[in-house]
Amino acid sequence: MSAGLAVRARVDARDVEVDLEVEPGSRVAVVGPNGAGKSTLVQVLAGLTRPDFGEVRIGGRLVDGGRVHVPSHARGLALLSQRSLLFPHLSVAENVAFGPRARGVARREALATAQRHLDAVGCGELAQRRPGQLSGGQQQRVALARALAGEPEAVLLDEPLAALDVGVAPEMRRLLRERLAGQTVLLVTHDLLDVLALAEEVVVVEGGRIVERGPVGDVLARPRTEFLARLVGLNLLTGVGLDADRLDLGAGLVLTGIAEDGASLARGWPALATVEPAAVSIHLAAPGGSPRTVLPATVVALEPRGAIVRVTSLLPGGQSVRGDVTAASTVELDLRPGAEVLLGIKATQVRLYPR
Amino acid sequence: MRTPLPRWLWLPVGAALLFLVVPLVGVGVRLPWGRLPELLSAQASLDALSLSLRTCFASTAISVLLGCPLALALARARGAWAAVARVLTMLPMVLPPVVAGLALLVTLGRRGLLGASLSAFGVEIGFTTVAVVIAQAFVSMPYLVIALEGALRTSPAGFESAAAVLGATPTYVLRRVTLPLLGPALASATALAFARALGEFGATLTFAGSLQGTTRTLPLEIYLQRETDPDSALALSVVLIGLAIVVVGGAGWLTRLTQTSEGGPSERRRRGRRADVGVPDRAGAS
Repeated sequence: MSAGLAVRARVDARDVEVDLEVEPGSRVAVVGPNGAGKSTLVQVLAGLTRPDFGEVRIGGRLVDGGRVHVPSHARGLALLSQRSLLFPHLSVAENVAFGPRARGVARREALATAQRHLDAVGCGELAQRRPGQLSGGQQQRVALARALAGEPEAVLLDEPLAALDVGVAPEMRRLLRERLAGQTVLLVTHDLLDVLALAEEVVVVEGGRIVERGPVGDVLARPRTEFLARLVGLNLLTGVGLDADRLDLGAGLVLTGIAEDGASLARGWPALATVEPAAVSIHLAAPGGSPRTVLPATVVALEPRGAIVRVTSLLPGGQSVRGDVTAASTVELDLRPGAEVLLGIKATQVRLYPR
Repeated sequence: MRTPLPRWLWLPVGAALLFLVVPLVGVGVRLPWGRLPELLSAQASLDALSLSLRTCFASTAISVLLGCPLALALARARGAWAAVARVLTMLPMVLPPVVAGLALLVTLGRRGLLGASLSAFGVEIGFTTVAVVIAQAFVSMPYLVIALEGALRTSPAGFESAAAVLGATPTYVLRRVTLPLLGPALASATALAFARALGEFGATLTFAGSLQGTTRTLPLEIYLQRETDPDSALALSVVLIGLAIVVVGGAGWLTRLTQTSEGGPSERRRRGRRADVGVPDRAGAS
């Protein structure tokens, strides 16, 4: 039976302080830069790290708080991490039967349960193998079967696909989606595809704090942090509203765009703008034609991506803008770090929303 | 592939090997092989051999039963007290054996710190077979503890956490995960302790004396025979050398055997071949 999760805790050694609730049966993705404290959150829930202060509840049961510290084995959770951590001295079947066996289920019954879970992840015929004889993808599928064989109250996933080959990851992602239906899931990831495929809600952690959260669609459509904007591949510019469709970027720069329905900018209030890198053009002289914003900038980096080059430049105020241009035009415009350029951004390509 | 060693290095390598092997060859050359059965079947020799084997099995059992828990605790311990405990554990290993024997004597001997009270209850330890076992365990257990602790420190911690989250109590983790994974290291650590116990001389002589059939183990018998019957001493030495080879070689063989069935080197070779036929293989990363 899936249970809800509630963490309101602080871990001083890693400077992490979070307040997070996961409803029973819902799936929450936790994203954030490396070292932001995502894994610490998982460790706290799993009982592998004891918080210095606060409370942790699983299905309403207090498992951390005050003098209470329920050890990992009595929490009824499952954890699937980057490494499959299959026990090398046990067969695949014994690995999957480990959870039920540890909880006192008789050997034959536990092995029958294991076989069912192995069949469900398409590894039924590998039951008698040793983990060392499996490919990385197979190991991770068996690890998923092992995690679910104990009928956990909630499933913690800590970058479950990060160590897999790009060719194997999609199949594993599909399997996770199928097998985790109806479960309470907390997923730590840095992959946009994982968030879209496996979560309904997304939480952004930066510097040990939750900085943004909400339904996946809303949060990804209107990123409020640089990390999230980069995750979805957008430029994020911050400023102050001038009127309904103009944003003051500071240093005398004004960006014109289109405000979202029912969310037009208010004069003097902080607001954000997103632009796709493909909608940013780079010029040496002011371009004519359709109405567009022209911003002076200094090129700081060029990153080739096939026939396209991603050019990162800094605005006078210090905000960075990434623009995609063809390799041919970087040569034509003689772009290099330090070059002074003009960025053209069409108003129709800029989405404005209050912060 | 590693870069080759400089060629001149083979000179000291050869010297080291000769230094270690030639004395053993010397024993083989001097020993009157024809008289071996006769020399070994002497009652004193048989007594010493049987006593050595019995006491070594007993002391090794004690080392394993007490040393394993100690190694597990030390491997996890942090801080100053752990460092102190580690030094104290190692002490009997580096102590001159005669000092170890003396320490045991003044503690457990008839008038010793604890021995006096034991004596009052009619329990005598000094100069008995029990004393031999205690002396051997005292000097050999540190070898087992240090070897095991080293293995525990380098073993990946993830497996134990994974087992715990799956619902395994600490006892279950120890029984089904920690100890099985420790198997090969435990085998070689046990062999090391056994070999050390087999060679025990100074502490045994000081604490247990040299009574035929009761406390006179093989090394003591050899030392005694050296004066009166050098051939007999050589014959018993060959037995000790043979036992040492069996113990150390056996432990190495056992280690390789367990590694083969648990994803060790030969397993890796097999995976390598599979990778050749196009099976995605990232197992090495886990």
